[in-house]
Amino acid sequence: MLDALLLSSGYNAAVAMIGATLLGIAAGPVGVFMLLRRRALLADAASHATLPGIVLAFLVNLWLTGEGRSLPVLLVGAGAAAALGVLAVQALQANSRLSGPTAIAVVLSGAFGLGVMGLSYVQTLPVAGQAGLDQFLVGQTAGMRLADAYLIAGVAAVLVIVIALLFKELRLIAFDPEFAAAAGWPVQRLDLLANGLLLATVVVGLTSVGLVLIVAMLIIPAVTARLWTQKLGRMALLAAAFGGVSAYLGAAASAGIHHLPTGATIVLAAAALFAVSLPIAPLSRPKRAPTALEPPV
Amino acid sequence: MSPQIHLVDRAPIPAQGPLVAHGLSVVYDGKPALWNVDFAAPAGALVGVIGPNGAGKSSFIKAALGLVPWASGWATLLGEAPSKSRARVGYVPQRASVDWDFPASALDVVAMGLYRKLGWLRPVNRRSKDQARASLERVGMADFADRPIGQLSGGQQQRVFLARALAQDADLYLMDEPFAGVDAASEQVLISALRDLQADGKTVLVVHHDLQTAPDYFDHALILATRAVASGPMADVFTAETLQEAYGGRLAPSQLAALAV
Repeated sequence: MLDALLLSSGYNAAVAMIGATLLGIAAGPVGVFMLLRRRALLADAASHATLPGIVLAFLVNLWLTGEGRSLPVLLVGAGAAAALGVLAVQALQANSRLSGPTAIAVVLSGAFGLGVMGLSYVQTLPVAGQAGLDQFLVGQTAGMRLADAYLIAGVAAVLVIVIALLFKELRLIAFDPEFAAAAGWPVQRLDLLANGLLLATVVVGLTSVGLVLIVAMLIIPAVTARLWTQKLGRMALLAAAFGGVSAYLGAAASAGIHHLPTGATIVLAAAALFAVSLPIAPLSRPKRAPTALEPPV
Repeated sequence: MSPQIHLVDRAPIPAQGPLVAHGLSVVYDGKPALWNVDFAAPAGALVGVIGPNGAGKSSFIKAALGLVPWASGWATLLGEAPSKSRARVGYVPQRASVDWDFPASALDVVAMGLYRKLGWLRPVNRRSKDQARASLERVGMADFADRPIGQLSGGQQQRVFLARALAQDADLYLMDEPFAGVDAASEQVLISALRDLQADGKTVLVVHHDLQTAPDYFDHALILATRAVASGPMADVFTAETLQEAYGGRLAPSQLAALAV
């Protein structure tokens, strides 16, 4: 365990830990904006929708090349399916009586059921590599190769740069989309971009945290950060720090104690940071209602 | 979930005046919220948009900005289609339309009125912070610049919203219920800020629900009850007949007497 913490428990484990840490750093600020835009649970629908995409990408790749498992191909399938999941949630919200959370629940469970069915079909196939598909459920960094870590690092860097550049625009649409639209900002396109950041986080997070728990990496570091600050900039930085630290500790624990699934250990580390913050952070107490109307005069 | 924002984009329609609406209708779920409204705001006027709950007051402001789709008719702001000119219009949304638990200071919110001028990707710089501070000063909130917005009273939050619109430095201001649920001190600050705007030659439209204060606060009125019941100089349109029509005869004689109309 100590070896793992110091990145000295082998080359592969070190690569995996660095990849997971970078993902945690990027997921924190993405989660902050999703949380403030009240879209955090959208990530859950998107992540569960990746499973049928992964299975389909595996089958198509198997049919085309005779070899199913290729991380980039699987991630492209996951990303396309996640985007479809987000579109399905939005279409349900716009065109049916379903409220936001209900639409998310329908898409999440429907897509996941489809994915589990596909997964059990794939596992009956007499081909190699299909056994590893279920690692996307709860994450497994152990098999991460250097190329995979580069991919994660690249995506994480793009996410952080986009958020830093568009910080004020994202803040505006998160706080007051109506005012933003009235001031001439393209709110729909900015929302699309924010959803793109969400999808990228979910897809890259499949490798380390897994699709069931990736939503936790978006939400927990962000809410933990909120307990410590009233400033959005600091909240984003703190969320990046909490996300990075939990991913690092979780991946180290998973590498050190062999049977622990990486996603679970990472999320537990994030939850532990939250639990430690709750009693000591300055903003943990429920607020008096400051937005309540004052008595009429 | 947050409301969907629909952006209306139409060819520019030539119309003079700070705000012109012609045959403007808004329909939600098959029910008209605003019906066939004709209105032209005189330049430099302080206009009260008055009417009962559900009269389409907010819908009128949002339709004028092109934030909700037009079922019929059109509106122009500053002589152009709203999609072209709304960036030059100051807007104060309803205070309840945002989450005041958002991690931001009063200064952060006011600075949002300067984002458009800053442009894409440019961060909030020292100069815009100074400008935002000056706007807060104009509503008596300079001492609260660094206060988290969740710790402000309703009246103070409303002043922050007004300061954000002031920072936009617009020629036309559209305000949705800025006096709703504010304390007496804030109400006085808000009304004197509106009068300052008028003195600077700006045109201001204010959605207002309080009939008692309306004749004091505004020199023009648009009285709405889904359609436009009356519009014009306050003294001409704020009468027992128009108010009874707008409120469907629900105002008691004693209420009307108290309004001295």
